[in-house]
Amino acid sequence: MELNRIKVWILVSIGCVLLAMPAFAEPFYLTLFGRIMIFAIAALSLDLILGFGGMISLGHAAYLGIGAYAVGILSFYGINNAWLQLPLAIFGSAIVAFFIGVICLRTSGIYFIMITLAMTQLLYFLGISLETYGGDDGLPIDRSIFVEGFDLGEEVNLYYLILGFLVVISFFSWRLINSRFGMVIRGIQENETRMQAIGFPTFRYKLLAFMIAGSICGLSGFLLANLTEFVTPEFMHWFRSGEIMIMVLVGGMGTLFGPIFGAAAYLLFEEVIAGWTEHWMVIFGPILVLLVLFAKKGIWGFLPDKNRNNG
Amino acid sequence: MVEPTLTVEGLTKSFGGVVATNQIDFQIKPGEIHAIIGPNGAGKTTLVALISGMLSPESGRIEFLGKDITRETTANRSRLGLARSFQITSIFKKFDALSNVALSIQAHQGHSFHFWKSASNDPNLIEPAQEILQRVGLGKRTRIIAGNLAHGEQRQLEIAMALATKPKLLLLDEPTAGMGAEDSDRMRKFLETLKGEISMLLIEHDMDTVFSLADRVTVLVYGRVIGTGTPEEIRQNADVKAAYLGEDEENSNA
Repeated sequence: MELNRIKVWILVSIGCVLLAMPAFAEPFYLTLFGRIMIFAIAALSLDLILGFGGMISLGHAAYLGIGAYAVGILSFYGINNAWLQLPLAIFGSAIVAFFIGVICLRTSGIYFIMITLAMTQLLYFLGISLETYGGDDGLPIDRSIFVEGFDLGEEVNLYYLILGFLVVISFFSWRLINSRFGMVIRGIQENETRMQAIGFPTFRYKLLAFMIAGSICGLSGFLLANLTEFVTPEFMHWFRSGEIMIMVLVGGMGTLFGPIFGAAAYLLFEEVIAGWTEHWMVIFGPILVLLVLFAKKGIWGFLPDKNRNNG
Repeated sequence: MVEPTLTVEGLTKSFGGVVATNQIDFQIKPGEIHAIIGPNGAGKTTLVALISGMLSPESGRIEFLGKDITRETTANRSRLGLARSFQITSIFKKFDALSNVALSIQAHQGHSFHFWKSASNDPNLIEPAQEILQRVGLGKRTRIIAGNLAHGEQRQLEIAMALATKPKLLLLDEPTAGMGAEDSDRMRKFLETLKGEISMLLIEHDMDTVFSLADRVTVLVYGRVIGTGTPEEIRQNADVKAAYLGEDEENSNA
């Protein structure tokens, strides 16, 4: 995948606006944009397997929940050290993704969609049954502690932490999809039979991609728990997986950075229209249908592009 | 005696009640072009799928370079040096021609768990890929998206991808399928340049191609081998004439 100069500049200027935002925005907007960036990370991670690997997972919110519960459960026992919580969120998600992947990746098409959905629902009900950690009432938590002097209790600090992760993850993912590993994943999406015929044992590459995407989403779960200061099984509900997928579709599947725009569009739309009517989905639904039908590359596809041949 | 490149013994595969290949035996010697011919439904494509590992047989065994590969995965067979082309063009349509071949090369440069360095400007992939495209006659088309190449060019790319895996045996499933006379002719000449260098199993409908290229021919009818021999022997074989060649020759001479 190539980026043209215009798009690089668009991304850089958005980064600058986000960087400067705390200087002029009210705390409400810092929280809103913090939330948008967290879901941008989650959507970007889903795009790695959905848009580049062709794995239509309707269970991605599972890792959002695992990342959040890594914070929640440790916090419950009075451990607020982020250097323990964050690795648990990331590696915990990777391990769960390994087991879910080993099972689900043996199927494809509609079966893959349904079985990933089932796996997430399993975790959702597990969360509800964990009475110790609040069950379906959820669990209030304290924010994580990284280092003395960088208090995440300050909204600005948390905001910058989220922004920092978004930038790092975007860059990492950009390198990833253009690396040898990325080429294998994209090749499998294009034509898995051919990949095997030229000598790639495809299963292990798909599994690792699935685990990487899960880990990144686990990271966004860690951030989400900190932002909301609350952990609930709702983070893992299949509806949440659907929302993340909608963000990818709206932003542009297989465009990597498009889902960032998708997350912003979805959450801002919700914020604005939900103020007028609680049935905001009635308006959003048709827009989504039109986007999917007529704009295969979503919002990303509307951005100026000099060479339209690039896939 | 020289060790055969490929030995197939008693290979049987059926789909439901239909026996697609029935107790097939044959050998391919090093450097040889071995053609498999037979009418539609004779089991030729099934045979390629069995040898390349995309289907597994009910009984029989496949030995490649002295190693039993009957239960190996497709990917492992490719790594041992067994490459195939597809009857229905199977390429990465959204990638450019160069990336198609580069992926084949990448598959044979150890594992691909490299996450940071860009693959698209890696000289270890690009240079050999360019060389192979040059060789099959696509040297000027390297940056064209594969889906936009002409049909004949896509068939050439198909072969380039197989060659990029540095095979010891090439399974060619109708390499000239759907090609015009001129393109087929070019493909035939190209395959001739590989003769002696790589062993080939050639599945082909076009009799001119078969009789000009093949060292030996095996005839399949309804999943069974009804004759094996040099092209000349096959022409003389009464069974073969009755089952297959007779009607085909009449058609092509008409």
